[in-house]
Amino acid sequence: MMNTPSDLLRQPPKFDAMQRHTGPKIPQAPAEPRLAINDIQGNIFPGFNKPTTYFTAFRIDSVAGAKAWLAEVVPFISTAEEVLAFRRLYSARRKRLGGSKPPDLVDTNTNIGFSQEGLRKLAGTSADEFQDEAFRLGLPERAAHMGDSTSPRDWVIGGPGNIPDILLITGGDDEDILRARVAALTEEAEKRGVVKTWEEVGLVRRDLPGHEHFGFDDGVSQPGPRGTLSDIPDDYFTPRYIDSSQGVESLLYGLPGQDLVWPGEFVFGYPSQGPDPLVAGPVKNTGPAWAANGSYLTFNRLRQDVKAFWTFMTKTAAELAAKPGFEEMTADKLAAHLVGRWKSGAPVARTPNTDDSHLGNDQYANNHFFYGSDTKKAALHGMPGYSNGDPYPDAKSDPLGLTCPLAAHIRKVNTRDVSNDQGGTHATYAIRLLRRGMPFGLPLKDPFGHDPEHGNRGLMWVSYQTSIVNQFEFLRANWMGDSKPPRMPGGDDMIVGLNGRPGEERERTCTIFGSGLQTAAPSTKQQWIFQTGGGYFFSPSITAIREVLAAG
Amino acid sequence: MTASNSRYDPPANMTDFASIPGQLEAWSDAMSGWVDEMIGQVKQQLPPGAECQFYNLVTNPQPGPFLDQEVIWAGFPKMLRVLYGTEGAFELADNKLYPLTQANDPSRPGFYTGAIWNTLFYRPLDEYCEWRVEKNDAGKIVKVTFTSEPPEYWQALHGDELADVNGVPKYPTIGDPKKVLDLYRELVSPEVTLDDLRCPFDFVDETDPAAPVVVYKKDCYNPYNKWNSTHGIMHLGQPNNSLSAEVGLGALATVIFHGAANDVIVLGEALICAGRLGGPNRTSDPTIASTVNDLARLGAAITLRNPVGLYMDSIDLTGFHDPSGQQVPREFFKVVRGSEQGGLIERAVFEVPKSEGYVVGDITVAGVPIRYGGQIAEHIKVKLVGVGSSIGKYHNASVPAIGQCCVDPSQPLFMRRPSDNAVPCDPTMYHAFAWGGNPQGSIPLPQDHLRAATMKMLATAPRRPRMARYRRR
Ligand code: HEM
Repeated sequence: MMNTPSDLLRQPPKFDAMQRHTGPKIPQAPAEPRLAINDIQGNIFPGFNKPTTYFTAFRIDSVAGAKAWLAEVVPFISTAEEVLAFRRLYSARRKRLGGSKPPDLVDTNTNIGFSQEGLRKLAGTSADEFQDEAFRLGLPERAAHMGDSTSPRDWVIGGPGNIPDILLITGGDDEDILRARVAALTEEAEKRGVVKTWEEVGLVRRDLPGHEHFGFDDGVSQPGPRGTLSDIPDDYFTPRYIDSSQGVESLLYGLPGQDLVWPGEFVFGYPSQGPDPLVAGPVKNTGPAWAANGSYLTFNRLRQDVKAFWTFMTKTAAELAAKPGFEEMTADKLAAHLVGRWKSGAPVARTPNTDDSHLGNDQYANNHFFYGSDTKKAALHGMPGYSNGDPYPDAKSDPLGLTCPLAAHIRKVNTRDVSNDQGGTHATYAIRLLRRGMPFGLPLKDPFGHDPEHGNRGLMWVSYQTSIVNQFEFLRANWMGDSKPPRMPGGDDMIVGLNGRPGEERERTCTIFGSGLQTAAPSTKQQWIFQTGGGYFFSPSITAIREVLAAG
Repeated sequence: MTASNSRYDPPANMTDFASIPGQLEAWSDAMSGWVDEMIGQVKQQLPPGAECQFYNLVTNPQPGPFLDQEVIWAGFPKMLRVLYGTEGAFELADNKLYPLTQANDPSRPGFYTGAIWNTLFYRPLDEYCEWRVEKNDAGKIVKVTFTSEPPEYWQALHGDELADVNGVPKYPTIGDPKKVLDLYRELVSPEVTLDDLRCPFDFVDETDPAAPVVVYKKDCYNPYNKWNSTHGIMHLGQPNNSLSAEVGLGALATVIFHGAANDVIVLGEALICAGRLGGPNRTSDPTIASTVNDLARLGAAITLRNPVGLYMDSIDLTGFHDPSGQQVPREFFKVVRGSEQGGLIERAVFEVPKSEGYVVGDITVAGVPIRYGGQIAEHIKVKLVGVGSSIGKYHNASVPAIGQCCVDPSQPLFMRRPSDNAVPCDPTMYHAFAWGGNPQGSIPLPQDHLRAATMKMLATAPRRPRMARYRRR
């Protein structure tokens, strides 16, 4: 796809292949730690982001064999540095090509995670030094607390007796090369008593790249880890775009609206979030020393019932449209208000009544909105097209959820600048995760038409964080899975929340407001998301794999 | 959504006052009095020409339409977690009682001075939800009793004079001590006597030796009596957990503050610090204050919904499993006072019926056996309800911050109690939110403030141990 001239004008002048200046020089900026990007696995950050990804599970039958295999595999494990370098090269090449994708620039990335049991086999008792209760107990034991009603025994992977020791994630641009890589890694493993127990492929939607199966753009809002890559003071891992003339905003955000978070929330061994988001907090110490530069990986195979989803939206929108204040309700609008974004990714907070695909596709604008105050234009650094901010209508203060409902998925999992049931806004920085999911199964083009796949589609939902209990599980159980928090007048996360509360028959409902402050409460007992597999893993540093896990 | 109210009703519309002639009016007068006192305080803080956005529902009703703003927060004290970690916090929350001479917040002095206060105790549970755990001989939890009832309700039921917002007795009530006794005997222990519940002599605070203050008079109800502390639980006892404090926070949070660079303060913790409004490390105060302040900045008229009270809204029992792995029913959380309908719960008991053949300590939450009451409390939402109307009516200017919070690197997650911002933080500490607490604000900081603050924090970070010791298995 070619960009229009005005799009090109807005392209950042940085990120040429070897550019190391990724932010305006701001003398007030806090000191940030240097990230060991050559030791951190690259799917943690910046993330592979490949069109095709294999998820391969293994059981270790021979510990000595596994160690030998790991020693061989280590050089194939992509580091954060390699993935970042490729991304920058790719962007630079793409820019020179006037915006079209460089077809011949391809890479293949592999990352590895180990379950508690897998680590025990390879690292002995030091595996027990991981303090996270969820990691120790495993997903099957924890799933019901997050509202899951399925029996883990039925999961395709990760149920009792079927918990892999190793999860390999391999993504690539070229399918033949990718397949060959996965086949080679697997063959070598099996030769050494590391047995493949399951494999499935995740596919970026070819019809709507970046969108999940309900049809919405996914992966729009991600926190940006703080940290530098070298001694150059503005050589940040997460690029900073906001001009220093904007004041605090230039210190708090990478892309406009992208919260900068201290890296200890995602990778062990770094300062985490303290009470003041602009000052480093403590280095958390909740694992063995070799956990440094590693991260917990949560993996969830979530089946999505696309037909049920759109049947509900269509029927409920029609009912609502008959009510005063909701006359303009449509299925797309209702779904957008329950997600918090339109299909294109455009935030409801900025465009309450219709989708705006330009806004949705514009990363310099699609995350720029506050809930507690009116959003002001933010000038971007060195980007002529944005020297007065972006061109779209700005979000208005909406603490009550009159515009974007408080039960919308994106407001259930990130309260941004407004407070929540955990106190003020600490959670905005500390209860975050890096999402690396991708769809599986083929899209259902017509949600009401024939489904050759028999409903087998959904998300391979992956996240990285340093506490499964306080980040991933907290979001799912305490916010998405409860009807009141984080903030009222809210309700259930209709889109992906699961109501396991006794006596409520799994009903999900929430409050939405009409044009004249009327309220409505759409509700359903039907579930659209089903856990069909998953597990908790740890993605260690390259050093830990080489010196601890592979060491004999 | 209430339009007009002829009086302030007792919390959760509880009925104990109904049969006492004149008591409902007396309660309403006290509530109304606290509201008016706080409006007076707000007016002193507002800039010239500004109008108070907080109003008295009874004497000064405002036009609708009204929007209820429920404010909810987690029942387990965040400050304990911040200071002692999850396990340490659970342990302390269940088992530790503090004398009133000692504060549960290590950055503030004790609540009162004098020998008597050393013998009176409270729980370090400061999120307006307190609990007491009972165990069997095997050391397993069999019962956890939760309360969100304010102490003022019990003083009124006893017929005492209720204090004004500064602690000076002011509002007479009629009361019926027998009702107090009957309820204690029914809900806490049949052994309770009226003498147990009353002050045997004046309880005097000697914090200022030159001007001792009688806090509780002889023969008045003693909120820290043993049946509400060491031997049982009836109502909130942590000294910050009072209804007048709730009214105070709700009212004062309508004042709009700005930091050094005139940017309006919006983030919850920063607001607590800047306005010296309460506990910055709590789940409750920052969200109460900033939710109210969000409405105030929208120019709304604001008050607390009648009946004004502190409530447990609900509990989420998802994933609480019995020993056979089945979900436990919600009836195990039994509402004893207040009402489950509408989430106005004042007292509740978590217990397994005898017929089930197991006890609370046999229940698991997400696979973890219940060993602490806090594991249940963290699934309780506590709440108060505000009401907003006439958005856009007010255009009050902001006033300069009066407070600040300092952070000591040795307690890296803990914001010390808000202090006077005319006195800088100790040089070993840093001043949190010195940049103002507005994400769209300017940068009023000295150039090296943030850098220096981070350096102070990093200086305390533990050194990374070497990996070699793990290689030998
Ligand atoms: C099949 C299941 C799910 C679907 C279809 C889904 C879909 C979406 C969509 C469409 C968005 C908005 C686009 C974006 O900001 O990336 C989003 C955002 C998000 N989702 Fe989900 N999601 C799912 C499961 C989950 C789960 C299980 C969690 C957490 C435990 C989660 C956490 C988040 C977070 C943190 C955001 C970003 C919110 C923000 O910062 O604005 N999602 N999701």
